[in-house]
Amino acid sequence: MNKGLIYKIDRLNTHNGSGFRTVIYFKGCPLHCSWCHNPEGINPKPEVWINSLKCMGCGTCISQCPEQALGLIEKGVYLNREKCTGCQLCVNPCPTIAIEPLGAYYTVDDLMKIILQDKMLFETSGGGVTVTGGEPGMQSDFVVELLKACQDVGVNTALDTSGVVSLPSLGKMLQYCNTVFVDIKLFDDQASKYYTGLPLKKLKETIKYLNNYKKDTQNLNIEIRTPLIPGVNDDNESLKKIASFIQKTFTHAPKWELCMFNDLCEDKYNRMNMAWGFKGKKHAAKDYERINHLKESLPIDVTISGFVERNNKD
Amino acid sequence: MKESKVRKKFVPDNRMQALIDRRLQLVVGQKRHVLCDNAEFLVYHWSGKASTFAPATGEHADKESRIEIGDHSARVDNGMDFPFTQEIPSRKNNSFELSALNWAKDYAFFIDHSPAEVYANEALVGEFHWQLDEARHFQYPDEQKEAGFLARELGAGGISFAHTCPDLSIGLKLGWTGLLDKVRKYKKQYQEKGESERVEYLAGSELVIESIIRYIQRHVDKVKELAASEINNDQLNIYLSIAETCEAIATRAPQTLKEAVQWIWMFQVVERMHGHGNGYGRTDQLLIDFYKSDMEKGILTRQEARELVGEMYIKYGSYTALGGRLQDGSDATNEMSWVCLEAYDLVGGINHLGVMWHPEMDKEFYAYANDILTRHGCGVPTLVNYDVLKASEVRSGYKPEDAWNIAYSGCQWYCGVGTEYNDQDVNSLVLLKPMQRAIELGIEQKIDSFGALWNIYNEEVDKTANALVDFKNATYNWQAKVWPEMVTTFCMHDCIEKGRDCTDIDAVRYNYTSVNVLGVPNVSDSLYAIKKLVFEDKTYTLAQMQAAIESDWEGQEIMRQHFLNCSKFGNDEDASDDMAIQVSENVREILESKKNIKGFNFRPSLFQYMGHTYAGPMLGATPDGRKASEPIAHGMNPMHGRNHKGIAATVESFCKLDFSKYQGGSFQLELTPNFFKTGSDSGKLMDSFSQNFFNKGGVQINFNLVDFKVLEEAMNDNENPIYHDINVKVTGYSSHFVTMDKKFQKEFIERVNYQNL
Repeated sequence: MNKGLIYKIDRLNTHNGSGFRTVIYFKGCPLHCSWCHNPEGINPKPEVWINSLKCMGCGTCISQCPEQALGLIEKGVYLNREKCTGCQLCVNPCPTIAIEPLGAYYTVDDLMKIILQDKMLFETSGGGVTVTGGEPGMQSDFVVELLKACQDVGVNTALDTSGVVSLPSLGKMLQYCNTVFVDIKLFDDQASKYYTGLPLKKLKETIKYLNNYKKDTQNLNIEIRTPLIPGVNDDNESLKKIASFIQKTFTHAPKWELCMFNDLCEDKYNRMNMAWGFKGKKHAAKDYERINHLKESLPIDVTISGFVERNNKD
Repeated sequence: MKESKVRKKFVPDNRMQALIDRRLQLVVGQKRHVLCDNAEFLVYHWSGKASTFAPATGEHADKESRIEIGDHSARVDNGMDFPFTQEIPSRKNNSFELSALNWAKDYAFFIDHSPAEVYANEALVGEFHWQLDEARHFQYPDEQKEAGFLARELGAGGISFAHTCPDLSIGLKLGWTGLLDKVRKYKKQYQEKGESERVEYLAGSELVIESIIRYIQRHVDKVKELAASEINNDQLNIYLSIAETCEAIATRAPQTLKEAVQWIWMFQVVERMHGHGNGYGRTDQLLIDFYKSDMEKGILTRQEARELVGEMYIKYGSYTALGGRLQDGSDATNEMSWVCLEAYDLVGGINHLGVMWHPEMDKEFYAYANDILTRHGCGVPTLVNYDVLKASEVRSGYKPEDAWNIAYSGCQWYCGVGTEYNDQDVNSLVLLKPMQRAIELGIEQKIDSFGALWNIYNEEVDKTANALVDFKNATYNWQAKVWPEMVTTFCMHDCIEKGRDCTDIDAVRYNYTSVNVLGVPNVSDSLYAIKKLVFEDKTYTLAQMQAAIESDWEGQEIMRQHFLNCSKFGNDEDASDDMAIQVSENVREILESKKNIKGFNFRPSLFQYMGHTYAGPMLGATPDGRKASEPIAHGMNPMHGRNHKGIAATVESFCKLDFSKYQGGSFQLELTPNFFKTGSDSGKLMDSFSQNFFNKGGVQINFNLVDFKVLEEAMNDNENPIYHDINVKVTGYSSHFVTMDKKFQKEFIERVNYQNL
């Protein structure tokens, strides 16, 4: 039986589609967005990370590692990621649960058991299942099976894709999707290469494909999401470009959502031993006001989501 | 959530806004504090000092050790002691007796010396500053106290007070004068039969009603006096209307909605002068006929109705209930249910009303309740599952003809309306105590299996339960003589008829003794960890563990982490959840096997309103990896931070318990605003979540929408007025955050543990 590599399952989520949703995070992504809020989802292999706040430095884990990838430093246990094979043998012995596994293999049956616990909630709230990542399209065969299993029992499905996905795979997944979320982050090839590691070509093809797909089948709900990145794409000009691309490409303008930026994922980068260029950057109430004002000059409707830092003692 | 930020659906006019502002000023001025003796009182619900909560003034409150548990007092503290304490009859004549008549004479004097006050803008009058327990000696005889200290030794305690739900329809139908006639009628009957004890009780009741009528009449005199010098026409009209309303309810039964609401509020005022805090039943059922009749006559508008009920909420948002079912099982929601919710949407703030959901409830009404709950964000209304409440009463032995008429009537309490003396609120069994004894005995006896430990634990729980039974019975022997609840009794079925106080033996129809069981999650997490690490894996011995606990895990951090990180209740993991069920069922079976001298059995409640905050240091570290300084779990809710799999898994764990076998077990849900996506319909999501929870068998949801960053700021800057209007649902009662004791504030913030889901 096929298995999917999944690094998080989140129930009662209200941020990724209508109603309450069970959100399934697939591991592996072709993009390397420098602001990524789920850096643990990029590598398509199992990994671990270490929460240094919890680590007591007891060293129990060190002898468990067949690759000698773990060592003790002042802050506690340190992981040499070049040596780590992701076997996760170090996870269980840790008395403080400081070492957490990233990625576990699930069958469709495993997931359906979890999903069906909330079926009543999906029905009363208009919710369902959302597959996201990483890029679910990197495990498309499994995703197709999962989405089909959901629809077979009447569970609403949504696919959240980066757009960087093979079109035949996308087509297969869409057959079992009620909604597709696709990110349009940038509208400048150079910036895209610089910030995400890939040019825009693939994404543009996907967008066109989605528009045609929608024309043919009608019953697909397309939603575009643009994460607003401070100093990268949250200026008026970038947003206008994205807006006019959406307007030109789609026969019927889809829903478009701008997501305000926060820096809550900073600790994830520490745990991944990665540097993060967006440390301390976050949108505040005044940014929200600016974007909200800008909305009116954009050619298509857009909603703003996400939370921003409050004005001082507001 | 901050009251001033709430988008209300109905906008208060200047008069209503002035009343709302005064309400907040009273809170900020610390006029509505609820105090208890000391930390021990919170944990054992009895301190050996006071027989009740400690009033802010008077003999019981020791300023050093007393604790502020919130500002949900109906009483308005004016900073003064009752000025006539020394002249109260039982003191002045040195004639104190433990008798109902002696009590009644003090009560009549007390109310005769409580001022009739009328404030600008209010159309609903009645405000009180003192409770009788500040002036009259309120102590049980030594034999009761001795039983209390024995129970404490073994981990139990309790007082008998609060959250009975009188049937106000009795009073609304008869009025004070009708009630007086009824008392006199039965007094005469018992005189003829020569039953002097009952005659004496009813003679006391007569004195009490007469004093209440005088008190209402004094309000008439007061407004007339104020009216005589009033030049503002609007205010003058309000005064005249008050005079008319009070005159009516002093002389006959209420006939209009306005009179009915004033009657209900005045009942609460004169009843709460006893010193307790009952629930007042199903407001929508009580008022619907008055509402309909006024509407038919064209003498009332819906907005006026909202304002009337809203004024009562401003005076004090008592424990009341809406919805539920009628006797024939049909949905009880009516026009007045809507008005009562709309009234809240007009005045907001602290309130203790509960909506009693059932699967056939008017969907729009329930949707509106959830809309209010999420829009106002401060836990109002409390959502309860009517069918589970009813099933648990039936299971206890309620007759079906009485069981349908139950009402949410306290933090997480419910009560047969007018048929049950609710001895539920403040009995406590601290389950960690028998567990601690069991561990010590287990080491002594060198046991080698979990089964053996469990047997000892079972015996120790039984010992604690027996001590509690003895203590409660010692209380029941004296209760009606020490502190009768005469005003409550007027609206209880069968009591005046029997010439007996509702606290007495053979008075009300039902009087089970419910017991708050404190620490079920800690005990079950502890026992599970012991089972796994000591008896299955044999990683540690019981003695090693005990030594570590005794030193608060000092130098044993690795061992502590092992105990802490065993599977814990609340994550939908069968191993630890099964233990929680085993532990709850065990204490239930033990309690249910005990009877009180009134002939009713004991019942467990998986709830304890505030003891968990202070119990930690008192009880020491526990085998679940908890350090002594940490609080223990709140009710049946998993320990803070241990339900790492999120709310959905916690709901699954929680609902593995059959709540119809318990007297409640509220689910505390604290969410930060980020939980709901911007622009999402949070009311609809809450509607869906709560119905899902109830369909799985859950019994009550206390919901807060709180930004924990703001609460942290508020905790560190209590005096700053920008934080004064933050309301939270603490455990089942509402409070302004800044008025809570620091320890409570800290515990509340730590509880907000779902922000990263």
